Amino acid sequence: MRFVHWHILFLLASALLGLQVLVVPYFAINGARPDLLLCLLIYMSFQVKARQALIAGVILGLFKDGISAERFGFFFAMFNFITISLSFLQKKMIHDSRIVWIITTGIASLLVNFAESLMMVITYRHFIAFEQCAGGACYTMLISLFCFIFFDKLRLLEKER
Amino acid sequence: MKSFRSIFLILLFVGFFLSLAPFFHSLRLRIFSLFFQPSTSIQEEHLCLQNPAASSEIVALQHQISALSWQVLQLQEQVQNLTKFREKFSIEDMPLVIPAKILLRHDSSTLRNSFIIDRGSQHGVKPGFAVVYGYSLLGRILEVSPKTSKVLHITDPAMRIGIYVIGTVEDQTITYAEGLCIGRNSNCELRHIEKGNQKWQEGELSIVTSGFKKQFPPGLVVGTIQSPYRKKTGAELEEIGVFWDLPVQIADLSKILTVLVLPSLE
Repeated sequence: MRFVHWHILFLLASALLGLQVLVVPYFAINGARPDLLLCLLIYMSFQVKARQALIAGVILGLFKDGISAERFGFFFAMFNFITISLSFLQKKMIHDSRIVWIITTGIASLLVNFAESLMMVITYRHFIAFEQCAGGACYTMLISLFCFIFFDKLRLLEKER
Repeated sequence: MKSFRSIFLILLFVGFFLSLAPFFHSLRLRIFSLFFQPSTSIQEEHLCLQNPAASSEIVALQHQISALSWQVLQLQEQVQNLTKFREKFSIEDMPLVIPAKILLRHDSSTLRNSFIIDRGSQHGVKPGFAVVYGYSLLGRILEVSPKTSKVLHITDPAMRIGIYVIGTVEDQTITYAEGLCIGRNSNCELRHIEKGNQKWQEGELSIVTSGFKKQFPPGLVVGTIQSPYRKKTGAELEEIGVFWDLPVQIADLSKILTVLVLPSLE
């Protein structure tokens, strides 16, 4: 288990939020967009201590709530729910397994999207199509896969040095 | 483990109450407006030049030129925007419009679509007001803070707009159908458009707001659609079902700098 450097987390979260709002929409496929902050949260849930991951969930959730049309506190609650659930499951999972991380990211993204569509039904009595929820989750999984490949390459480079 | 559970419960309760409290909805926009201060006037920028702390007057002047060029560009677009709007809606019909600049075009959520403008309650903006570019509808005000407002884009899944499908044949405007335009995240879609007996003209048709429930002023353009009747190797496409579900081409938000906020009809 590693420790979190909070100033790095703040910088990373700000950078990812900037990317999420300014760059990601231009790479949307049929409206589906990946959730970069969720990728970071899942990565942290596997890499750092549970309580630190929980605080990271609070920070990332509030960051995302800041510029969303969703009700304030929605992502805060969802990200914390995901972090807590993962901390309970962590002991039963293989920490370093790439596949587990990618699948978990997909499931978590699907969960957030379904919760969002549920909020839509509660607030506006409107439904969001399933393909939109699933499309976003698949894209997030794909991004987490690319992140893994990138991090693995970085580690290999570090080892070579 | 007990303390861990208690933290979880506290966080859930806090999250729940945060989502209910309207105060926090406006608070996030207030925080956001701290980062985006309204553009300074020329006089204020002139005062900056006299500051001895400025590293070089030339650099300051260059910055001033680029800032003013940007302002000119935005004002030019605003004039164009207002002229286009006034061509269709006279001052008698719509006396008050609030020009605004777009600060942020996209939403952090993967399923929602909203944007932020630099006008808030201080400028008379209220939730529910329509936001247009020229005479194209862009969305409606969702949340308001003193200096900024959040606008729900027409592609947001929460949007439902009452519309008419209209076309022009020999200088005559024909209303083909009445229906509902819904947000589909990436675009808009027409739903429940009855096929009927009347044959639609071929080519592009316009979608305008019907003013249903006084949600939006009537006559604002939502977008265009391609007529569902297309000739396929001589024969017309087969009609199946009772309703058309058609994709709508809307105005591209990424190319727009300024918008107009229209007050509610009520």
